[in-house]
Amino acid sequence: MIQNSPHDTAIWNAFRLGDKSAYAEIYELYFDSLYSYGKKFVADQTQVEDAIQDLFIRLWRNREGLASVNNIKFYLFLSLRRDIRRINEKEKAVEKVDFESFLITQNHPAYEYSPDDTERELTLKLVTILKSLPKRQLEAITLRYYENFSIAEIASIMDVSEKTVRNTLHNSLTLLRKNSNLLYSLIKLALIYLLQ
Amino acid sequence: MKNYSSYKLEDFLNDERFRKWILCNGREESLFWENFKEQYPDKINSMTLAGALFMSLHRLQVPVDKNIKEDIWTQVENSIDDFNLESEPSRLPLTFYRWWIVAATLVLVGGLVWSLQSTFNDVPLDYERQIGQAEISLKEKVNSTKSQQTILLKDGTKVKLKPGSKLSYSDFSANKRVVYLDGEGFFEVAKDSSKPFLVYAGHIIVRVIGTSFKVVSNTGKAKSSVSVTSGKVMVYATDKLDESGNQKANHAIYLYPNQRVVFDAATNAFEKGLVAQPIQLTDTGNAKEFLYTNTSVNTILNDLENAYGVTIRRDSNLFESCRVTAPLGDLPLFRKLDIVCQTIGATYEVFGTEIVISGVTCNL
Repeated sequence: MIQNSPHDTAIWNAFRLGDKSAYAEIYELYFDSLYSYGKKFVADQTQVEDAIQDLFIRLWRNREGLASVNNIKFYLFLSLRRDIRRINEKEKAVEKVDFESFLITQNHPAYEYSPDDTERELTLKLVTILKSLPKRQLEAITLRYYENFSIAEIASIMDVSEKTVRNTLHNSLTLLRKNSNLLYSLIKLALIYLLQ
Repeated sequence: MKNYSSYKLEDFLNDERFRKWILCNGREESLFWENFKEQYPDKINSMTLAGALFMSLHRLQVPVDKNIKEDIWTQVENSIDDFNLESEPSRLPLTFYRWWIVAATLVLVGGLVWSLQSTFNDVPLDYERQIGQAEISLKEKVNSTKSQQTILLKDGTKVKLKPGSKLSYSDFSANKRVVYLDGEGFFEVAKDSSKPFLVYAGHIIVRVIGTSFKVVSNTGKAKSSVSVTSGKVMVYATDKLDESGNQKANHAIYLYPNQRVVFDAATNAFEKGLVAQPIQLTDTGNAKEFLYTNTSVNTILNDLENAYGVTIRRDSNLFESCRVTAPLGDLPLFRKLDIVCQTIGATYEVFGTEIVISGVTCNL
């Protein structure tokens, strides 16, 4: 959530110099998001725990050789995603997701928005819609709108082109739009922004 | 400043304050965002959608089991065999702790005598204990006079020590510059990026490279504070290694000029805010005169933000057309703000480290 902050650089540099409290701080700050992120993309839950553990051990052992980083979260997500990809490849457990085929073909029960709907109900609807999205679409949306990564960062993390990320986000938002009449005009604004 | 008038869905989702407001269900930041709704009624739909999308993504997050988090951390620590042995108690490796348990039983008897002694002599416990654990030989300076004393350390660092305060320090031949403080001191630390400067002050540790700041930490009192004049400072709580025996992750607090943090050992909590009397930053060029004639309030507030290194939240568009004539001169920051706000019929409040101005009725 906090990106490119000068704090990040300071903590990271202290950590590279062997400051263990800075290292603990990094763990404390980013464990939750990494864990929640990893859980969604690995079939065997304990593998995420192992992957995060290995990631932090490796981080400490290689600290002196690490580059200066001004966005720790991005660095960690990138590393974890890479590790998970490797685990999945080894286990052949990944569903081979055909990325480009996520056109607006999924059919979801269309929600009619009534003006009485409270924000809470809108949230519940969105939860249902998001849950039914293909994993990779949800991943892109989560990285963009929850973890606040940039399109370029998401492309690196997910190991796809920026165009693919843009399209995926676009398709997902289009889907949300189709399923919620209220959202239409508002999401249009976001789409214009994305397609620029 | 953010241009709120052109805020779109994505901008709300990227706004830390907005996320905070949504996450805590309006318990925090609501003054600002309710105000925002009134000022930009056309943004309400975007806000609602952004809020709902953020909340739904939040619900899809996998909750973290605290135990799992701690277990993994313990395993990480155990696997790391090459932790540096450092003199600081908060950073001892696990193997050191096991040794400590054995040593602790031996010290018990001696400790009894020692604590009696300290009660009689009114010796500060934390300070005394930290000095006792230091591996390097220390010199101690006690200011028993009635006026402030300035101590010049070997690296060029200046410490102004208040009456009744104590400072212990070495010749800094180690790879860190460590000093111990009990009482109140103002530090002007000489820059040396290869040797961080650490002040052990009872419940807290202050870590800097080169900067100036004030530390207040009186043994026996739960509250300690750090106020920063220039540069950047990192503050964290001292782990109580002899009581719990296991290591807790330190929460570091970062402070910038004119910011202050109070640590309450009773609640184990840091509270960050602005110093009572912010001063002009030294690295922003010559002291400004702050004499304004028919100047936009926005410009004045920008000047103040830059000169004092503070964040003043307001609607820039609204203030741009607002012009005032005011000789603010060398008045303190909050007095300057009083004058500006009174002139344009606004009010300001300090939330943590930010100043928020609201309620403008400027039609001059």
